[in-house]
Amino acid sequence: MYETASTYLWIIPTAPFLAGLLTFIIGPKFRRYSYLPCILSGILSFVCALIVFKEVHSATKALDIVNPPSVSVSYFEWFRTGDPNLVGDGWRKAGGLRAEFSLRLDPLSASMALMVSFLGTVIAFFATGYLRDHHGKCDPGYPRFFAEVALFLGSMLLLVLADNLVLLYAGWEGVGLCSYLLIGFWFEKPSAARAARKAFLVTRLGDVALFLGFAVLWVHCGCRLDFESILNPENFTGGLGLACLLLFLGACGKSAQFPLHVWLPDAMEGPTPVSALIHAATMVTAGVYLLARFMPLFASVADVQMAVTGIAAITSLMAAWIALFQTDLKRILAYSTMSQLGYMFMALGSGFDSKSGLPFLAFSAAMFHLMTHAFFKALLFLSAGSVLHSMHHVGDLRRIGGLRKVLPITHLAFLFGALALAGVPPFAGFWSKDEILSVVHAASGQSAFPWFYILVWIVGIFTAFLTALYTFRAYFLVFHGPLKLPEEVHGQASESPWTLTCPLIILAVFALFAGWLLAPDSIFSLSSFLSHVPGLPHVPPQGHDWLTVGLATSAGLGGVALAWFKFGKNSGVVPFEERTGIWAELGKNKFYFDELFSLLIVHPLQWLFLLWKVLDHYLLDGIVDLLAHFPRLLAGVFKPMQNGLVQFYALAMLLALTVFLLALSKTM
Amino acid sequence: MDNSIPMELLKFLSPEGTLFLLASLILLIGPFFREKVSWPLVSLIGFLVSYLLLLMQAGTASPGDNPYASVVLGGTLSNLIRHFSLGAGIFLLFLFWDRDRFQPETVGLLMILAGGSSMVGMANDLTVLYLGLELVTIPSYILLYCHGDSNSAESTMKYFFLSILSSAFLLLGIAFLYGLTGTTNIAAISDALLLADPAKLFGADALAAHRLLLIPILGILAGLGFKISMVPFHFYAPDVYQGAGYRMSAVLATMPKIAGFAGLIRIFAFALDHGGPAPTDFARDNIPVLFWILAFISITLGNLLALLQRNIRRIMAYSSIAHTGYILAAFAVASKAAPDSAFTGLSAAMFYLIVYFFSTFGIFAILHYLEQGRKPIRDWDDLAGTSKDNPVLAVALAIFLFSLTGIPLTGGFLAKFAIVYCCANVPFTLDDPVSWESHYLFILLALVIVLNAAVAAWYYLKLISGIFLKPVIWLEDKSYSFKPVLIPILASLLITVVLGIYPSLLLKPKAYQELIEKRPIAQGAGIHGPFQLADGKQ
Repeated sequence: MYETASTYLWIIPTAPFLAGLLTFIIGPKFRRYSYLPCILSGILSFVCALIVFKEVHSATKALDIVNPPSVSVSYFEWFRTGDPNLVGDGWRKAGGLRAEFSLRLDPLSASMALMVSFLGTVIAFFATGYLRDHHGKCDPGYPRFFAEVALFLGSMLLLVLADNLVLLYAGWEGVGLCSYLLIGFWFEKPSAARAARKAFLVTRLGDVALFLGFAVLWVHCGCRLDFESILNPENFTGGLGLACLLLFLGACGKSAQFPLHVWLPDAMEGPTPVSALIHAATMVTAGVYLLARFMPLFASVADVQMAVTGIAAITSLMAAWIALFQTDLKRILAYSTMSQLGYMFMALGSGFDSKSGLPFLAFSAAMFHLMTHAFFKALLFLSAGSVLHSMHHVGDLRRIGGLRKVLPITHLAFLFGALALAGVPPFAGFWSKDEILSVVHAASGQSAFPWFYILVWIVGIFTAFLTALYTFRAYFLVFHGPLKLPEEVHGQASESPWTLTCPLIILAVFALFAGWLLAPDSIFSLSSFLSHVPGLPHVPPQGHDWLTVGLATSAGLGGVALAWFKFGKNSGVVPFEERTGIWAELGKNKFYFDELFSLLIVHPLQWLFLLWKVLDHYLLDGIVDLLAHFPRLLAGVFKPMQNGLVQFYALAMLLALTVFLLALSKTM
Repeated sequence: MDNSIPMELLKFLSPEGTLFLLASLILLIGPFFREKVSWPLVSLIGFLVSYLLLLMQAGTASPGDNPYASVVLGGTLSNLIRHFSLGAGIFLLFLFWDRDRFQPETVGLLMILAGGSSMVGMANDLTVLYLGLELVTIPSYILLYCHGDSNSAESTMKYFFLSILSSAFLLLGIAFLYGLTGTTNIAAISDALLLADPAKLFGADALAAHRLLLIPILGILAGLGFKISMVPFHFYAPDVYQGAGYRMSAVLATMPKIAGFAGLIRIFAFALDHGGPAPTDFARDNIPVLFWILAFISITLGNLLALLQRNIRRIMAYSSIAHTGYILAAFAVASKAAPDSAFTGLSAAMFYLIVYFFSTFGIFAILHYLEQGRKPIRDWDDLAGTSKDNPVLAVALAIFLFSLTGIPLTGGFLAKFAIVYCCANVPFTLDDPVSWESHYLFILLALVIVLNAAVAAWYYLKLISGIFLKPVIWLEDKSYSFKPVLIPILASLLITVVLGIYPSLLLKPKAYQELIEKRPIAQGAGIHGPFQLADGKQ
């Protein structure tokens, strides 16, 4: 059963992890070459992922009994507390806690691992050039960067390959930690340090919810932790709704959904390859992966699914609107990521009624968009990185412009990414976005609240229009119009070195073809591959929802056209960022979320802190000191006994013996 | 019994026999060739030969079929303890590799020490057990005197006097046990205590018999409790460790403990066994209660007093008292643990003892190594700068300390986890209030263990902060040369980490199910004291 695949599977997360540790230890000695372990381990992971993928793929084609499409490969068991011979009800009695290193081998994990290891390697390669200045001098944190990226890759691959809740959680926390470290990579900048702290704290809120969700699952599933038993709603004695809601909250934190989205734009303080890898392509999609993985459970709780869709619609609309008014290139992309993640959740939330085909359609649409988005968003970020690299890290749309001639390759790459994001056929985003909107449309036909899903569907189409508009606004402002260079570059700007452009070209090809290749009717169809994930009733692909396709595509094209009319043709109109009026103000100020948070949470907390400080100083400090000193005080009572006199020791031993003898014979 | 030489028994005892013979030889000839021969090497060869002999008889049962006629037993437990004692002896030998004044004596005595501990592990007779224990104790007086630092005489005297007192307690207990059952064979004694029905013998005064039984139980506990430094027989430990130097602390913190715990398991096997023949009420109720109380006070007092110390060896002495308490907690729960749990109390205790040995040995050995060529390391702030001038050993030291704290991915975590798990999962039935009571009492013990682990983290982390964070006031120019002691340090590190990641090597589900050898109960084999078997067949 998957002999080759299970031989290579464990290498996928382990190699980058070891490379990370290695770089931490010996990296500083070999500064200039400290990227090598990271890149090589990435390539190794990618090759192993490819082998695994190939075997899973041929297994799904053959559909034989020997190779079931989903297996759990247990490498070793750390420990278990119950008797392995007891199953079923006995597990609960034994309190069987089983902690093992077991990885999951199925189409979902195989495709995620392939995507993560590929993008990780490409982006790490990009970073080798990005973190050098124009004279080829390395950033002081060069080894640290690659150590952390390698650790991140290891954790992310562990997250997608995990077969039990413990490993999944370990990977989840690992990527959170690496994200924190990498956002704060330039920690000497106060804004970067602040952003890192904010990201860590906000996602931590979600992590707590996730942990509680896992605990609820564990309790209600007879103390089992492996996916095989967890992912079957029939094993549950209740608590599914609560667990799913908590899992979704966890996903909200990691995937930057309303209201825990505030950390993502600030996370752009990190180096751009980090933004591309962690905050666009991989880590932020962990929430989507989580919900996709737990789809069999979510499908059985329709109310929670409505909450998922609702939050997703709010997030995607709001983020698109905010993106329209931003002036920083990377922030626009950050809001766009948030909005696109909203699309994925929108699809996931449409999968209810576990008997119908909807859960599967929702799941495959979300995964499809996850894949295409990972490629084109990474492309957009890397192109932005290339722009920033040549513009000496100036990304303000008001200070740069007309770079079409200066950065020809970057320009084309960005254009490809933008077309894919805007959903212009035949670029990647077109295919997957239509899938998602079709699923939402289909869900409205089966839901008990059809108007709700219709509303979401309309929001989705309107967001598609906004997406095209803000993307091409950025594109036209950066690459068209008269040439504007910031004074930092001293009038000398040139295309980035080949280490930067090479990844751009690779990813641009993907942005062009990925959607078409993976679309449901093609031979490399992702959805027919994913249909072998167990637990979701598979339905054959239905005909296209031409209404949705038509509307969404025209919305996208309309957005592009409006952007060209406003920003491309003649740049004489009032720029968005200088408009006034309530909607523009809302957009410019990110719907005042930072202010709202600071008013509702930070300020009350600060007042509370002040109050607390007084209380703390006089009352609690005393209590805590007492508690901390209590063991010492208690110890002080016994200390005189250790007086160094051997005759006293002998006497004490004898006395103790006598006391025991008397006390025990009394109690009998 | 025929008088021919029991070949089978000789063969069974050959590993220890080799050690004792060679040790005597070294002690005899050694003083005449102090400088000419590499004595540790000779001793190491002796150890290896003995180990080989032990491996050759792997899995053989006891010599002779009748446990009531044999003075030693084979089986899982004795095998484990014999391997462990010999291995510990080899590890400790490397600490004394450097040439010094008393080298032949030292290595000879170490061999006797290891052999004695191994003998306790297989003893099936009180006399053999006592002999083994004394073979551990008496050489340690001499070693302590030879290898202590400036005030070694004081600590030797303390150890000597108190140890003699504890041996007296032990002998008292053994004598009473013999008086009650009329035999020194442990298997027969267990049967008598398990199955005898004193009511039939003493009539209405069954209570008197049980009160009488308290004296040997407490006496033996006191005698063995001294060896394992259990509160309230722990007083010597901090004073003696402080005056003993790191090498001797390593010996005292490990060898007597292995022997002491082996002795406890041997004598109290009938009360630690889960699923054996139904014990009499006395054993079932009182021995776990005793262990419970002793565990509670050892853990708490050891950790509390460690908080007040600055001297590293005193900290380690108190921490070793606390670790004794954790193992005693596993003993207390041994007869109560859930039958479908993967750990039994005894397997958890043995696992803990093994992990404790490697971590403690590692710490003492590293500190001994670090002391070379610089001012002695006494207090925790003397550790300042270790991470700068020897980063590898600093990390190793931190890993050993983490293991003692119980941080995941080191052996110490699972050792503590298994004990806490056993304590927190004592099963109870609804219609039996006594079982509820024990359920809640053991949950209380689990809480005490967890809280104390938190307290202990404080002083272990203080040591670690001394290693890594404390600024160096003046830099000494230190150069470390290779020493053979690095070999066992590396091995301990490897074992500590491997046991943390792959505990099932030693902590397999039901690994030590036969830790206590089951045997057919022989009717009245050689028992002729008041605690005869109830049916009076003699």
